[in-house]
Amino acid sequence: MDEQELLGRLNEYYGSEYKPDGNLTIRGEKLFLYTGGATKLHALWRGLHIANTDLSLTIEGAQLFGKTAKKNTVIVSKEQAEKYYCGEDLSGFVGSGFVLIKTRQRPIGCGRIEDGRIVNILPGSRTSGL
Amino acid sequence: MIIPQEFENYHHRLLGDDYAAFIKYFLKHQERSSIRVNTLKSSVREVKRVLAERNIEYGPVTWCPEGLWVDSQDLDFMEHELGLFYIQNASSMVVPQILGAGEWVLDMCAAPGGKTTHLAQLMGNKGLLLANEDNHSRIKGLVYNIQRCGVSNAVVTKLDGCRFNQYGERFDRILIDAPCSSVGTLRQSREVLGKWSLGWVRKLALLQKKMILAGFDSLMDGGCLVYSTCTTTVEENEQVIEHLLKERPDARLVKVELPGIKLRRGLTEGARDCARIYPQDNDSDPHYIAKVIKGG
Repeated sequence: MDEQELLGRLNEYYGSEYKPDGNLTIRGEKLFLYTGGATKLHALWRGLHIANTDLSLTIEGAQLFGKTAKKNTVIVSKEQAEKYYCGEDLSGFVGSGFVLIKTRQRPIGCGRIEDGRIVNILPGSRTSGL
Repeated sequence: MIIPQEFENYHHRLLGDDYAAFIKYFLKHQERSSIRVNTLKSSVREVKRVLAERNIEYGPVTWCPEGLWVDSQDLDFMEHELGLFYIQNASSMVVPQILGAGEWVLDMCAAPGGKTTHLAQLMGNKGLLLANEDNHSRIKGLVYNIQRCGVSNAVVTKLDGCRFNQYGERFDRILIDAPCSSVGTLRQSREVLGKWSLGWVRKLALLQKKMILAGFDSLMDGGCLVYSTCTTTVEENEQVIEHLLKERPDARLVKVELPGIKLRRGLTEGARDCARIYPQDNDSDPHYIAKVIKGG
């Protein structure tokens, strides 16, 4: 799968119209957006990780795709959003697969619905200490 | 807190009448928290609303339009992880503003990424932002902050800053926020007092002098280099700049100015146009900033 195909699949899955303002690159399972200039130097990291080939989104990807997303999106309360950012799963959701999570119109990340709950897929480093 | 004699003697000699106010400030005042709104993801208005909802009082940092003083130490809540703001010492917010945005920007000692992410927002995520860090253990934190802040124009490298002139890249803006004796971090950690010695300072100064020459040689003609530290010693500050001016005749020191903050001038005749930030003047940690232009 190339970058444009993955972008098309993501836009289709989330019902969004995201148009990147830079270059997309797939490295391993990860999709990166890069808006900078070229350099010959060996890079350990380049650009912004926005999504994965399994169609899950990073927080930053959710913020980009979420502006126009109309499908596979769930709205949660502020309290649920806080819980999610403490690393907890959220119960009481039907369906299956990845969902883009929003609270008060703001995209806050991605989760996976399984057995009636949103399974927390935030990386540990991005959960809040509070 | 016990202040080592060598530290006290040195700073007394260096700061003269200002020493008492300087050290008293450090001893008596707890660090005041501040944040910088990340305009790549949010706005000052939105972050103010978030703070108000969390009953956190705030006020403007007068020298940074995106800076806010906040009356809480517990700032690692959801909106922080969402990247809406960066928890940052208010003095640090001066440095990227002095450098300004460019097309090819090098941040030579980038971790943990406060100034890098500030530069990215000044650049509007356009142009090349090369975030270099030669300390492997600090790269993870740098990448975390770049990602969290939504920076999409950065490339992270792990190269030796002292050899940057050999890598073949040229930049129109370079920031060297050099490794230093970190007297400015005294309020966060007293550790620095335990290891502070003039011998250590001189060793750091040697490294800083190599870095600034390599950085300057990586500048395009007409390009701008900002050198900064979070420490107080002349060996690591003014003397590094004087070394550059002596070794590179096409280096021209430019006066550091920014409205809204009290800046003191450099302590040596040859580096008077540099800026020193003292805690007793601005309720923020010490910083040193010099701005150099290459050629014309």
